[in-house]
Amino acid sequence: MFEGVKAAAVHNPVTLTELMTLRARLPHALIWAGGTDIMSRLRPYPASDGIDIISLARVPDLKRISRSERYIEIGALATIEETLVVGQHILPPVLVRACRTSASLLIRSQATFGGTIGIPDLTLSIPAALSVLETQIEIRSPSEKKSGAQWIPVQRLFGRMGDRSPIAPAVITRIRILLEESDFDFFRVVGEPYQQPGEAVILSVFAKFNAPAIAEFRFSLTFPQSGVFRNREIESAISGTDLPLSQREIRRIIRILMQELDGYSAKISRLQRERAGRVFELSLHQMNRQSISR
Amino acid sequence: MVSEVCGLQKRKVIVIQTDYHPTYDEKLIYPSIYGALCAAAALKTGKPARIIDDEPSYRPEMVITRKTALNTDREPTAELIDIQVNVGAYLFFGDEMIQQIAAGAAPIYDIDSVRTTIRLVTSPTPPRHHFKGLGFTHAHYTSEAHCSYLAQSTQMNPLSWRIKHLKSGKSRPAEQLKIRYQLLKDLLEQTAARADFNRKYAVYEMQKHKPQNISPFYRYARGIGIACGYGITGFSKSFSEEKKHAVTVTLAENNMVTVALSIIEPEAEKIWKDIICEILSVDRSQITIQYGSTAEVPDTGPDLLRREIYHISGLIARCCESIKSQRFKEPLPIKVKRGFKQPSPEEKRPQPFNGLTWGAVAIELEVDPISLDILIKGIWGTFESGRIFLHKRVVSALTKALNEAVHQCGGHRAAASLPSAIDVAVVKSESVLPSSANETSSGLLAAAFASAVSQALNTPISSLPITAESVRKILAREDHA
Amino acid sequence: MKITCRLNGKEVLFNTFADKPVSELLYEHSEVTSIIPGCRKGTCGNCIILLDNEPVLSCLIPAFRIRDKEITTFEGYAKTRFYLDVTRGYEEAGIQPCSYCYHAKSLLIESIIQENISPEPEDIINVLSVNRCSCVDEKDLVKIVETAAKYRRRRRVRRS
Repeated sequence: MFEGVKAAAVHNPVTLTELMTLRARLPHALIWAGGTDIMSRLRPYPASDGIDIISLARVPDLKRISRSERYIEIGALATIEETLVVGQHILPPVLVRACRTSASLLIRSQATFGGTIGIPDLTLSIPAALSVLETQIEIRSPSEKKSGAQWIPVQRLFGRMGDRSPIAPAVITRIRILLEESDFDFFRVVGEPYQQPGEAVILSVFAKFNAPAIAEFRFSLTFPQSGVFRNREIESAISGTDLPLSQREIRRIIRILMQELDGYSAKISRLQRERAGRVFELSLHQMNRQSISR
Repeated sequence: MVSEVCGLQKRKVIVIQTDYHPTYDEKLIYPSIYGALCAAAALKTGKPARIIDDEPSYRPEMVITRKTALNTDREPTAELIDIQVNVGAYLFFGDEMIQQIAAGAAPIYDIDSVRTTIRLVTSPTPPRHHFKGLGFTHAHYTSEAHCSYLAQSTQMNPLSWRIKHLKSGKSRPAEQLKIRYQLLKDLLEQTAARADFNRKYAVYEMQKHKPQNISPFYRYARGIGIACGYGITGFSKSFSEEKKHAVTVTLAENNMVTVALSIIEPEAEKIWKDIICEILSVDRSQITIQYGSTAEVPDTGPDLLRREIYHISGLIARCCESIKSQRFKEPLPIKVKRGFKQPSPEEKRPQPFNGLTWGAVAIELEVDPISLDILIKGIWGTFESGRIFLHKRVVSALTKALNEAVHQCGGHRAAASLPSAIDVAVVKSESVLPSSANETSSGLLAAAFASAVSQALNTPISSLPITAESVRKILAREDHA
Repeated sequence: MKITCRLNGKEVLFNTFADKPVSELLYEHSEVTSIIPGCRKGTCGNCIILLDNEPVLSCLIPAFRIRDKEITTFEGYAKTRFYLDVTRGYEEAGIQPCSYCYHAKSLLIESIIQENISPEPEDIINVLSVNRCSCVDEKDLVKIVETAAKYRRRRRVRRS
């Protein structure tokens, strides 16, 4: 049936150097990590005439998970389930919840950490959680002369107006997450980010208290097709406020949030906007509840 | 269709049937369309062609308007029912659709006069799928949902309203189905008792007027709905396709029984063998079922045209009864063939459908104040679906049907990791034949669902499914669902 | 691309496209009848196979990933004695999955009881939720798996 069609060539580098050399030679090649996203997009095969695939499966450096006093480093090829098993007691609770809700067990065992961050047109649970944690990602660019490795904050992947900054031809190789103690964590996926990305919202909240006030408050609202919304003004307005927040205070914060969302991205649907306001309000009520029960 | 589109002689087209498992009845329409497109592409290019498709399929769009006149005692006296169905590019089984829709739309409460208008309209849109039925379920859903509106308009509990108005059925026209009112009342009461309907209904009725119910802090927008009614199995007695099928049963020496069928359905084999064993007192191992090949008999698709449960069981039973009467009188082998029987003209009120099933469904739900999804707290169903051969199998099939129906209405499970809370009971029947209750359950569930959502949101609901977006619109008063 | 692997214990050679889903590859293989590509995008959960004894959705695995691996489809699994435990689970519960999802659910149940002989209902539903066919209610699925696990425990005790 496919006479004359050139089949895809699969390259299997075994070291990082080999990977980067290949990448420099084949800048348009498809980087294949777990492959769950690529394979789940209905398409005919061969994907296109003569495509090159760089499979990362045999690069052991990309699977390594290591830990120091201050942070945990996860290789981009570590699967979500592996990370969850190894790090469930040390990873920030927001990230643990993000891993658990990211997909079913079977998919989690195949999908990789780097892969979920690297999907160019969809932002799912894990990048949503990483965006409120002090996370750095290591990207290696084949064009740079030295080692080519560069650490950048994960937020750099998301533009201010919801657009995604492309990293290709660079490759994500490691993720470094700061192990911070928190007093309040909140992570909730509303809707189905993968099946209905135009309706879903993901909220991640990380807060530290200095009784009776909120010492630090960070939050991110993720809209799968419109990137990650973070707002320093709202964060600083909440940081320093005494707990519990009054109903009036909560209403005021929600009003500001809604105004800011109106100016964020035109791609957010009305349902996403409504859900964002509601889930954010819920997180503030839960923070109040937690502060009282402490 | 391939020969028509490609201008080939029919004998030059060879159809190789591959394993194909569409969820519903895509088998009826789409293989022909894709087959024709693929054949045209292959002829044009001179190479093999393949089509991969991910298009969703839709039911015929049905708009049903019902207007009921109430007398001074708020009792219904007359009803106007107007039904318009958009069937897409092609109309399949038009006469049967009208029969089924009319049967489903007929009100089950006492009423003096009813006028029903049904229009089937073709349109330049993709052909529609029938999803297990030809409109009976949808029409019956509106009938039951309308019951709940009438109850609401008279400020009565929908359960009490139904019990009060399910009376004698004397006023029903002769061509309509005969309703077993007492059975329906019993099913309703049993379901309501298991669901604790009256208490929950009263509580949610008190709560529904509070505007803050749907806020993330209070989280209390709940509703409970109930519906009762009937369902049909297979087709009306006047459906021409039914006359084509026949069953032959042969009793040979050593009590060997052979059944020749023109359909392929190994799953129903157990039931058929049970019927034969019972009537002819033979051993299961002595029964052989011979299926017709699809080359000789058109394969009718997985769901819509399925007729094995009631009709084939009925034909097998009739064959066996006939053999039983001839046994020990006539020499072996005794061969009996039975096809579908037309209702005799002398019959005063012939039932237009065979294999009626009866049921009542209650559903309790909550509107999630964060996602605005409808979360199901519990479903209770009580059914009478003819003779039961495998009780667990029937309960499981009904549970599955309710699960599917609630999903199609827009309901979500309260927590994905918890088992669903569906409680199904099947009551004993005097019928000697089994019938399928799957269709009954989905129509009733949809009616109960709409009634419950309407209580939870304190707004009348007139279309399904209810999505989070439609809940948002209701809350924002942008429009009504 | 030429790919060799072990399919149900036999060495096989596929000459295919590298990015072809394994579900398609197996569907076209004459000895495999249990794999029917359904959604082709990882949502229906009907194309489960065991890849090196781990359950995977074969539509999400490209052909190049099965090189030198051990694939077990339902045909291969049904010949093992472990399948008996699962069938006993169906028998005792009095219910079994429909013909559409029977193979996938059986392999998933096997993967659950292989991993943990005393699985919690939540874990059972979590693993089985990958198969979207709702022909068997969750309560019955939990019962089936618990019964199958009981027989697996007995088998292990006998063996030890």
